[in-house]
Amino acid sequence: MAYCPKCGVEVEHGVEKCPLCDFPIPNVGDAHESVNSKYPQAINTYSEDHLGKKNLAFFSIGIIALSMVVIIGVVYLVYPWNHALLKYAALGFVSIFAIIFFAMNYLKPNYNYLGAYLTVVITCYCVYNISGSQNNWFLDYALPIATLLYLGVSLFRLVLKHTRHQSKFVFIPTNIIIFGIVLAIGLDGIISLNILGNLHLTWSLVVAASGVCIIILLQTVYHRIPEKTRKIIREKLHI
Amino acid sequence: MEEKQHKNKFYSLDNAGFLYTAIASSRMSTVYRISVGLSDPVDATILQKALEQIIHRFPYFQVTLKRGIFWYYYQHTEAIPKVGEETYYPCKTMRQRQGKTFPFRVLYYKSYIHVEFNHSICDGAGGLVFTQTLLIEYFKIQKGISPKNLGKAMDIESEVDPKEFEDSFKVYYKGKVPSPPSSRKVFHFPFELLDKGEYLLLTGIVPVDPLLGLAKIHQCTITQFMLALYFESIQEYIQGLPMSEKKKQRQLIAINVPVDLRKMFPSITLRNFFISLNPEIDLAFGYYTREEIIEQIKGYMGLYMNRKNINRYISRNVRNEQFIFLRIIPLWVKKLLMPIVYNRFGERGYTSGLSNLGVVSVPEEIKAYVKSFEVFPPPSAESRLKLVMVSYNGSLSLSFGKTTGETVIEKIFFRKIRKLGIPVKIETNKR
Repeated sequence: MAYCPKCGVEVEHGVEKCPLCDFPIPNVGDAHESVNSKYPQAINTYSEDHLGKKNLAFFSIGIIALSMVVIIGVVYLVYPWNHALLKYAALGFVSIFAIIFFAMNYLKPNYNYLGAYLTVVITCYCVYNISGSQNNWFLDYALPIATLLYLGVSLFRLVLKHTRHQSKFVFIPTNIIIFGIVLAIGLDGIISLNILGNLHLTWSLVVAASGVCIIILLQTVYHRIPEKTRKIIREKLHI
Repeated sequence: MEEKQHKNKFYSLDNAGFLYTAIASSRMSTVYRISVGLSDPVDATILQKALEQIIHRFPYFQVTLKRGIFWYYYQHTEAIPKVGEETYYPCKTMRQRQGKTFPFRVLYYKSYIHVEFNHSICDGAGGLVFTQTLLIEYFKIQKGISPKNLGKAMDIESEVDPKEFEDSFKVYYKGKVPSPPSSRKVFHFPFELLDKGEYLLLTGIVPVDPLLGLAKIHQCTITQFMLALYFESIQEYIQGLPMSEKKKQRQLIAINVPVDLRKMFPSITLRNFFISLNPEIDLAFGYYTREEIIEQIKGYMGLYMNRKNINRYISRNVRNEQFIFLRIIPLWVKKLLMPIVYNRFGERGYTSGLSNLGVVSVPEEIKAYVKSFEVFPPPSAESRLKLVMVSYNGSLSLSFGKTTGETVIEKIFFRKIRKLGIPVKIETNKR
């Protein structure tokens, strides 16, 4: 019989570590005796079960998107109708299909986010080309805003990854506020650069200042003010 | 003739069954397991034959889950359940909508028989009756043993009594009884969840007699004593957490304890018939000694475990089920909302669960071939660790079902039992 010296409990024969405290179990039994676990090496079927449904959904969406593009293509070739509108419709279907593909998480999360970003940029570029617009809105606004959103979401994910196991009622609002501040400063910057020709932040600074105050408040409540600071406040503000 | 009556029959879910089907998800399979350890390796052919022999006696289990517009329901099926070798994680989600699946599965591995039930069809007491009947039939075929006294098992030659599948909640429901107070948010284990689909089991096998002796010294039942040890373990865990003393004292620990209502009401139903009580200790009053916890539990049980108070829970549950505005909500909306509602009003109110299925016995003639009985709770995301105890042949199985890989609570709990001088044997499916 094998025992854990730390917990004092008997464990199954052949077990290398205590199931309770992971302490190595000394091998006291017959070395030739085989491990006789009452449980098999279990298989997790969740991904398979889940993948089956996901594939079915994706396949259906794919068929619909492809059919729509084919129909639009035929209409485009046969009828001398509004060609620009047909191009928009086909582009819309292809873009939605691509976004759904990335949203279904077939690739690694980082590639999915990058894929979604590239889809948005390419779609905007195609719309820009189809519309034949005179002003350069793609390079002035669409590309910077899409890039800003992509970087903002990446930053949000990075911070969340490192703080998600802590109090969610403090860290998730904090992360959302940081995301909001980055987004506001970025948007303000893009707008001012395009309209005024230089970087002149206005309303975003108000958003940032308010956001930082809320973050400080939340974090202070969570971590409490250090004893030293608390002592100073007590001394200075005593009535 | 009796059998024919049950064919093509529609079975409405019972009060607890409505909830279980609505909250079931890939994380919360609502499937629990009864494991029986035999002295010899299981013969799959005989097990299959035994299952085929007994299933006609349980027409209310020979059913398949169907989707209605407003609720799920069970419908009788002519299909015969098949036994299978255990390959997957325990208490795996039951895909039930293909029309040929059953709300239970019979598995085997080496010398173990596992019967897994969807909680929407029956509770632990009902599941045990089915498992005991299956065991008796298995040995009848294998060894030609026909026990004289079947105990709680069914005589498969007897007629099906409609009371065996009645919804006893509705039978014993008394309207216009005030609802019990709503639960408060309590401490939850901050453990990392396992991947979806994974479920860990950890059993501690201890002799019953020394524990009974200790319970007697403390003038409480064995359930209350084990509950006190469990409370104490969670309290000790909180004490050791890296959080401020002030925050520790804000924690409230509550453990969900299901009460088998067949002991209180003259019901013979095999479907769900239980109510959960939530004894709690509030650390705002300071840390509790074992004696204080036992007194607290005894006081709580004395106050709440009586027919009058239990009626409040039954009435609330049946009233909620019969609430017309809830009934007319389409099933798909219910499936979306119920997990959120359950999380908010159900699981937030308890830290963990402890269920005692009592003493299980098998007929004397087959006792030598049945080595152990264990019951494992269904997995849950909020209550990441739950405990079920069942005693058989002088051994008490303390079985934890976990959706987390952490073992800190079990470590404290079983070390406490060891410190009482009681030997513990640990078995787990963790690799």
